[in-house]
Amino acid sequence: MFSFIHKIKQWYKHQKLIKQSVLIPITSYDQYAALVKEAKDNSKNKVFSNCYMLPAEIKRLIHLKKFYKVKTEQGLAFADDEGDYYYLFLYVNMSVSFTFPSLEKDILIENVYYEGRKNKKQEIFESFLLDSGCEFLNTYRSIEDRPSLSPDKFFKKLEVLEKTLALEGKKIAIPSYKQLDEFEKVYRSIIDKFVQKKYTRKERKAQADAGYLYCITDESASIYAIAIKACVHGGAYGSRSDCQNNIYAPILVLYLFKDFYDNMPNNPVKEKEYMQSKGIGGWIAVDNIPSWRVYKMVGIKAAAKSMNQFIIRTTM
Amino acid sequence: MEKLYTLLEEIRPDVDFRNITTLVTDGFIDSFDIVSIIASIEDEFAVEIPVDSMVAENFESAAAIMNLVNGVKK
Repeated sequence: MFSFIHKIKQWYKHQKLIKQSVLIPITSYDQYAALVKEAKDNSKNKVFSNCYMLPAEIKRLIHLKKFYKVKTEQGLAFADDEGDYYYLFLYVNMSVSFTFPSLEKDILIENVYYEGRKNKKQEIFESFLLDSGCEFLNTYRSIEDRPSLSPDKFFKKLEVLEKTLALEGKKIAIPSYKQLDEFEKVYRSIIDKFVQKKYTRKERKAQADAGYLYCITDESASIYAIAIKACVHGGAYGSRSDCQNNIYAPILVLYLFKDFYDNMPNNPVKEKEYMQSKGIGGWIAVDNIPSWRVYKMVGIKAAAKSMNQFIIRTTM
Repeated sequence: MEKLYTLLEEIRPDVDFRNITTLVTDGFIDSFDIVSIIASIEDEFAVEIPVDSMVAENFESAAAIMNLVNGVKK
């Protein structure tokens, strides 16, 4: 009941913020590009930005009507409405003080940097955020997307785990359209709300069609654990709350790499090149020890980037 | 061109910018690398890269990046 009333209050304040032009919906990519150009042209000093999104992602947000310009005293701020919070990115002159707007949801701001090589501007940006009232939230480290297990070891491990699963009457499958609601329910129960994205049903269907989604299921089509390939915003994996201490999630993480090993060239030189090729990895909180253990199992290591998250909590 | 290679190798010393021509397609660089490359190029070459230039084809190779820089210089 509290949650329902809270949602209505949030919706009311959201509409009010739009009426007051604190949140201005962005309706086209050209509008976004023109605003960024104007902010850069009008600033005496070079503006700093923590926007790491490519045009395709911005266009997706505009298409979903989730993208806003936020009224600020200086610079430019854009908010991506992620449902439970706003992901904010800025184009700002860091030598001028900045006040974050008061919105109806928490505001998340990220600063990405190369681990051990945070540059001066990135350091200043973090001080700028703290001085502007943000609170440090967490540090994440990127992971490689390429396992370092040899093909023999990989298939041996997978075979053992799949046999164990079969003995329980379960199997790994791509979720059917009918299972997508249950898939989404498990996903929403396991995600780190400040890292993983929420997708529409249409987007999920497309992801299932592309073979990016897997689950552990049984003859009754119940879902016990899910996994999403890293190409979908860094991927995700996890088990239903009553299956947390079993092997389901680790099996799926292993299985995510089956295609990679299936396509391994049958030639030692090419195999080495293939193992060293690159792909899209994900992010893990530095203090998420269980997750680091699972990735270690398939020989996945930390990669070059880290990210600090900062938050402005809503007073609503 | 050598100035660009130096800049790129400073950002991602682990990537072979002199030979790879599928930097984005094959996942050698991601959106954060692209943003970092743009920031360095803007400082070093005194140009401004418009946000709508942040598309994969402009960053697939060092040559494509150089074309982008030359294009905005004009």
